[in-house]
Amino acid sequence: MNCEETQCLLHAYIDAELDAMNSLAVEQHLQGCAACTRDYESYQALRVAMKGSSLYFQAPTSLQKRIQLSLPKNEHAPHPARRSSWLWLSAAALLLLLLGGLGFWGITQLHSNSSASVDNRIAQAAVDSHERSLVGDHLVDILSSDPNILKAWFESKLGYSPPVADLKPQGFTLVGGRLDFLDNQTVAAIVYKCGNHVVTLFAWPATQNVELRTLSLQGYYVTHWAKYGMNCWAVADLDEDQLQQFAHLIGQHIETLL
Amino acid sequence: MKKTQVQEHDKCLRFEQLILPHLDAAYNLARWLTHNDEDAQDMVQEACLRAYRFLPNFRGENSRAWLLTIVRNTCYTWLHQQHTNEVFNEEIHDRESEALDPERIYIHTIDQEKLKEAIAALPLELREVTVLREFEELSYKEISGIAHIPMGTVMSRLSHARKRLQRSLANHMNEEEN
Repeated sequence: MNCEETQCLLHAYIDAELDAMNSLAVEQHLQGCAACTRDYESYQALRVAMKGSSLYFQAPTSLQKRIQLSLPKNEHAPHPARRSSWLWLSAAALLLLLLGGLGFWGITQLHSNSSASVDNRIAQAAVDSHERSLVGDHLVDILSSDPNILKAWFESKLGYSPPVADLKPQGFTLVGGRLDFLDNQTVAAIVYKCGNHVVTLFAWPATQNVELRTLSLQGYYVTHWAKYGMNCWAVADLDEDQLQQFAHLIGQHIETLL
Repeated sequence: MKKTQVQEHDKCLRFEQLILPHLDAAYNLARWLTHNDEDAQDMVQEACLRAYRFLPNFRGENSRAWLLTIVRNTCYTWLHQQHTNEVFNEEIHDRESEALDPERIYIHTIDQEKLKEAIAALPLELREVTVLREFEELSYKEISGIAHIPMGTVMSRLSHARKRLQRSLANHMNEEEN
């Protein structure tokens, strides 16, 4: 083994991740090579220094108490920002318990024939973003009910304009838009209100079509489809029918743009 | 007790056994990723609530790695929302470390404060593998699962991270000597 090969495997060797054959080869090289040995020793010194206790942040003692108090079982002392959602969450958690092995990561397929290729990871991230936007009081970056203003804003930020429709007559009032992060990219999040419910529509360019499918996740419905080059994920705590109607309206809107 | 109460009680017990023992690990990771105590506590609380919710579905054995995955994802989502998205380019870092002659300085005494600063200054992706490997002593396989990257990438990121740390410590020593 030469220096280059040794350097390549040195970190795996230090971390005891090498197989016996390669470990032996590295050791043999180190015995005969002062330069590589110095590298090895200095990395080891670094690792030893990192064991210093001042580098490890212990959780404050109050944190455990705070977490235990915020668990849904403590109905009298819930997390302040989530008071309203606990009943929902407890109900959802119970439902999941009853469904037992059916759910993986809490995802329940509502339509068994569409179980194939739903990207559970994106659904989870979409629900998380939606939930966090409600909790964190960061619903929108730009507040406007004018589709044209929002489209222009997204165009300037993302280089494409997502579907933004005026659906007020149908009961979905446009609130605004924000940038979000899904599927390893920055995407458009368009926020509507239907009564007291917030609907978030995440949209970004798609490379292939996907049939519309709906999932239930953590007490929210998530509807996903991709058509005419746009990936759409809608999340809300509406009824399944209402959310599908919303998806249908957005789909119609995209068709009118063609 | 009613059936639902029994279920909730069981869930609380499992939470106490599987999740709470790893609070320090969770907080340490969140603290290094967010750079401050208040946000780290929020991240850990958020992650624990999610862990509690998903607990009935958790079938694995490694609850520490499972919790750290949730903490890491929670922090990332938050960081992206803070628009502090550091774009990390594996290729650029490769070139960078090739171009610079590795500092062959044997570090006899490493100043803990300087080391702390140097770790904090690492790009997010290098910082997380460093924390998971050096502080939590997780295997490449576990880190690969938590950070959603191949094992080869875990190794190369660790190697970049250590080179960078050495370089900043060496620079610091040079400054002191001059």
